[in-house]
Amino acid sequence: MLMKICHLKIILNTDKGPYGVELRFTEGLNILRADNSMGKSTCINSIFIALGLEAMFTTNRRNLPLTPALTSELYYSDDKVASVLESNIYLEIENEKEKRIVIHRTVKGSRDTSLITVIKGPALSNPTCEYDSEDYFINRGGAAIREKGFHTYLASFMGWDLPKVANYDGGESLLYIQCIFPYFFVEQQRGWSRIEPLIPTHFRIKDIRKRVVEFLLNLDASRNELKRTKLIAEKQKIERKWSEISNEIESSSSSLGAVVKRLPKNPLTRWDTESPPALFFKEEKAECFLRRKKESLESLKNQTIPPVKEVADNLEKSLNHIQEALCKNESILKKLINSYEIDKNQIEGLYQRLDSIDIDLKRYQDLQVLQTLGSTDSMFLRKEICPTCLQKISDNLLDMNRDLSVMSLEENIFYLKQQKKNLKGLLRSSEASLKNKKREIQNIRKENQLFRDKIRSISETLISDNRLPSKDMIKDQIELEIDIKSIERAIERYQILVGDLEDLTNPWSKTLSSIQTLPSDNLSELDKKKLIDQGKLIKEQLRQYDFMSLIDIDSIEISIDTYSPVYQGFDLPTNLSASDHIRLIWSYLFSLLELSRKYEDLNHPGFIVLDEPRQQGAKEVSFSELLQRSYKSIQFGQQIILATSEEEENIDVFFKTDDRVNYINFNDRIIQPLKS
Amino acid sequence: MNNHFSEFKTPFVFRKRSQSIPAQQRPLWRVGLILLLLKKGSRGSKSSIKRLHFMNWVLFSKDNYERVVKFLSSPTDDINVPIEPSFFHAINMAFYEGLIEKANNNNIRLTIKGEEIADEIEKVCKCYELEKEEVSNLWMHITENFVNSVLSGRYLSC
Repeated sequence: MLMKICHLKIILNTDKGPYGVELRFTEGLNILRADNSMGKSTCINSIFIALGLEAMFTTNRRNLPLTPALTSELYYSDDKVASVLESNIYLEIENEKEKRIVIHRTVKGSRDTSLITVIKGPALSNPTCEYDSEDYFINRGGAAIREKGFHTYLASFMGWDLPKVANYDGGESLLYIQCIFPYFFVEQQRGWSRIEPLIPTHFRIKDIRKRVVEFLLNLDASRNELKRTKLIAEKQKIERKWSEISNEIESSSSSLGAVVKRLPKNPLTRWDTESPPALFFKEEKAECFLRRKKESLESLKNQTIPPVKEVADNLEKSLNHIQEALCKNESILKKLINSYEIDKNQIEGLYQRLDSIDIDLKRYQDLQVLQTLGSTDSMFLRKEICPTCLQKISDNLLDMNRDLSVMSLEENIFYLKQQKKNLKGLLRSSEASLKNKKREIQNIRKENQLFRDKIRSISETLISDNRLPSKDMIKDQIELEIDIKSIERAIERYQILVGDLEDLTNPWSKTLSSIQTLPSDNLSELDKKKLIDQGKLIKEQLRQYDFMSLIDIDSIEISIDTYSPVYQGFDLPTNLSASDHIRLIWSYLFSLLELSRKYEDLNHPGFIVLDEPRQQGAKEVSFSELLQRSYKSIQFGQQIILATSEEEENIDVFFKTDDRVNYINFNDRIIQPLKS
Repeated sequence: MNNHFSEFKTPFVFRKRSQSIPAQQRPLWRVGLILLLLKKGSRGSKSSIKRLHFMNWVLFSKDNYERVVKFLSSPTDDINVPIEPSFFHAINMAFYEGLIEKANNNNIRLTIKGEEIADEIEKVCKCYELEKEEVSNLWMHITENFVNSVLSGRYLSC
């Protein structure tokens, strides 16, 4: 039991003097009986207004759902009316820790109607003592979130830790108290119109019913849903990072003319330590390539640089050699560029062919639609008969003589789809080969550039003074040093990036396995058990209350997708009799209350308030059965408040006299003049 | 041939493989297009066969469509519209199906039955999607006069 309503006091200052009423409520069953229009609704409505819950019924902040007695005029007898000048409501409630407070709200008068004063003690049941009080506000933005908001205070008083839930604006809101109270507070005017409680939608919370039931029944499902959303976001983040890093590895290595083999494009759960990605320079492993270059450098350094006259001959030979190589390269390059252009055109042609297959497929779809249109049913063409000569024709405008056999629609569509598949495969491999050719072209161009530089440097050396050291060899050495440095940098960068990738495998595999461990429908075993038990409680009550609309009550259960009662997998029919409709509502609300007797972790406050549970038009409802069931609540420390206009003589004597039932009967108007 | 296969004891039958043809050559599709051209591409669902043939050619391929669009903004090239016999077959079929009828002056128009089918085609979004778009872009520019002068080469000299 998280909350109990103990005491209600209404004071109206009218031009005919002060009027009001004071009602005490106890644990267990409370029956407030009075004839129609005697003030019952005024009393019940006062309870939820004191709690600041008018948003349960209206979005208009200025028009609180108040009976006229609280705002304008009070009928103190059948034809006599008093003007209401000021009206105040005092409500004493008790929480689980047996702490009592009195909530004071002014409905009409000089005090701000948005103000709620909380008196920190049982000022109604024990008025002799002095108590501290504090002011809170309601109906201003943040009343549920900011500290001075009354609903923040109320939630913490009730021991509720309200969850954050997704709203339709793409953000999160708190699960507002006004959305939860309809599950145990049913007012007369609109509370009985639907089987499940009417929840205000202006808070724009997504799947509001599910969220409220998840909160009341403390289902793991909502926590799992949140977890899942977070994990999926995490997963996407890792995927993006992986793709970023692998793209960088590829682009930075290709700019050096190197290739990365075995680079995983998608995240891995385990790093392949046996064959990890490797950097290759022209089919040679990067490390070997580097080592070779370093060895060349070493050997160059060990040589003393000879004067030109000594190396002139060799240099001449080298020059010729390189010039030949350059020539050869140029002709290879030309052929390659040609072939590249041809391939490129071919690929474009393939794309065009793909396009036209797509258009043809679309047109075949048009044909399929035409065959479904009702208006074409009577056409001869639909039966492959020529409308001009009424003979069988082939489905082909180009060959009306049926010399060629043509594929049927389905065969042709299948054929086109196969073509498309093949084309796409061909395109993939063609584009890969084009990419390779491009790289090849780039490499050859680079090589040619190196050759030209070399030719220039040798030529310069040859025409320089014989006695000077060979510039060409010096240049070679310098260039080799620079080359080695850039390769080393590249390898280092590559290793860092690959290390970054490897580091992602752990979080990736953790995230994936966390997602796997979440139950696929978010409901834990305990959740499912709770819903099954709730279904049982509903069925039990329906039998007790003589529910008649559906033959097979056993087929009613709580859906694990919507948490609503369903019949044989379908939503409950809307054409139930008025009485059965009422019975269902009782059963549903009470199932939530009674479930909290079995499971201690539920957030149900442990009370239910029903205004006019019998309702006009539901003549034969077994009201006494409801009273019997409600009577049991006292054993569990729970509270039921029923306000009814049932005739006195129709209420069983037992409930009127038993000392565990709080029977409050009014034979006249409830609101009477107050003795000052 | 039978001597070679006599050892196999089962008879062999040879059949020609069936061919794939473009959807445009299927009579039903082409008739549907003609109805569409009348309903959405002609004033009062009425047009001359010459004009319909021209529009049929325009919608035949992306190439043709783009040529006509270019021509409308800067008429420099000749437009040559070859005769397509399939189109006339389709017109015949549409006529004998009772979907089109002769109107005055060598024009044809939709019958009630033709209108019914054309309406249904119009309603289904995914049906003739591309053709519907192309027709709605161009039909107002392709008048009888336009068709006559383009085909006779007189357009450029205007």
